[in-house]
Amino acid sequence: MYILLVGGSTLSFNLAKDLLQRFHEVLIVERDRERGEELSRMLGDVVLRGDGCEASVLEMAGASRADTFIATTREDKDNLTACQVAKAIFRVPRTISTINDPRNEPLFKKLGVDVTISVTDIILSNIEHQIPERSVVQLLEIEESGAELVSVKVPSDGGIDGKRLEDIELPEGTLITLVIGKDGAAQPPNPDLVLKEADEIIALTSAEHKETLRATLSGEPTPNSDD
Amino acid sequence: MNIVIVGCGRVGGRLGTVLDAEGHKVTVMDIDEDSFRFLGSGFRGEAIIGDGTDDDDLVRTDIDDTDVFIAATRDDSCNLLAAQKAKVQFKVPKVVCRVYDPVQKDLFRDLGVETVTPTTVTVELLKDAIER
Repeated sequence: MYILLVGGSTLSFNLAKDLLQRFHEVLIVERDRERGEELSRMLGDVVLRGDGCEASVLEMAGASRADTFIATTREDKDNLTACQVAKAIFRVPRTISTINDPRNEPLFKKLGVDVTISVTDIILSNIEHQIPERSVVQLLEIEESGAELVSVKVPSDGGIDGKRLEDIELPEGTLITLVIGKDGAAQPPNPDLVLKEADEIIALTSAEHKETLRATLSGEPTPNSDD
Repeated sequence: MNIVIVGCGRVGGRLGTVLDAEGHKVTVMDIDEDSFRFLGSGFRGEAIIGDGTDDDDLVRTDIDDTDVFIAATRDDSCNLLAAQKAKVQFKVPKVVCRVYDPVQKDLFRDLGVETVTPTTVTVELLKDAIER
């Protein structure tokens, strides 16, 4: 596969190193001369100096035969422009962009970037993992449907400790798929399963119902609840 | 009309001054406070320090109530992101974007973003001047 990387960040360097070891063809486009030379010294002749947002530079890089295009600069605006040029002019089948400001993610998707990776969101969700109480951690986003696979820990002081699964009123379209006990044993979501403190609930939900799910599982009153 | 201009260099500053004099409600945004010197002394519009590609800063320009949005910084990527945000996210009816790289001009026609390419325009003018 021919993989074109725009931006010579540390992330890009490590990606390139890994991809080269897997025998892919790789080229990094880097604007800064010094950084470009440094990357060349470390990786060999796989660096092109130039602005990856410019069509003429991407043409030199052979973008029209690239299978995958990855933009990882520090600037969202440059990542977007590079991906849009790669897609529209060079018809690259798969464009991938890292995103620094998470609010830009929906826009980038709408504007045709195939895969968006929100660096800030990933770090935030990793931090949330370390804060065990009252958080819903996103494990996976299913692109087509907008559904999310999330993990929630049963809190000690919430209302659901000791409740049976079938007695919990879940938000619309939400499905509990698995419950993992404190000891790591996974259990299928049988209706009569009794939840215990620190159980990890793996559920399929949507972005819009995530907050209601969090509130329900924390034993907080939900905006939609009848009581 | 309510008009927002992002980028207050020679072009943005002058344009803002002219549109203001014509009686429009003009808001100019630039990251660099110094650049507001390009606004004419009679400018009565608003000049806001901010990043025209940042959602919060764009909201500060009253973008939801804007008829025309113009991206006129010196940076193509910045103009392209600001203009596409204005069009797609904030649904501004008319969006015009200054783009130096002529190749990128065609990219944005489908999105309904109009582009002005100083490079092409200047080349044409210079050619006319030589041939005259």
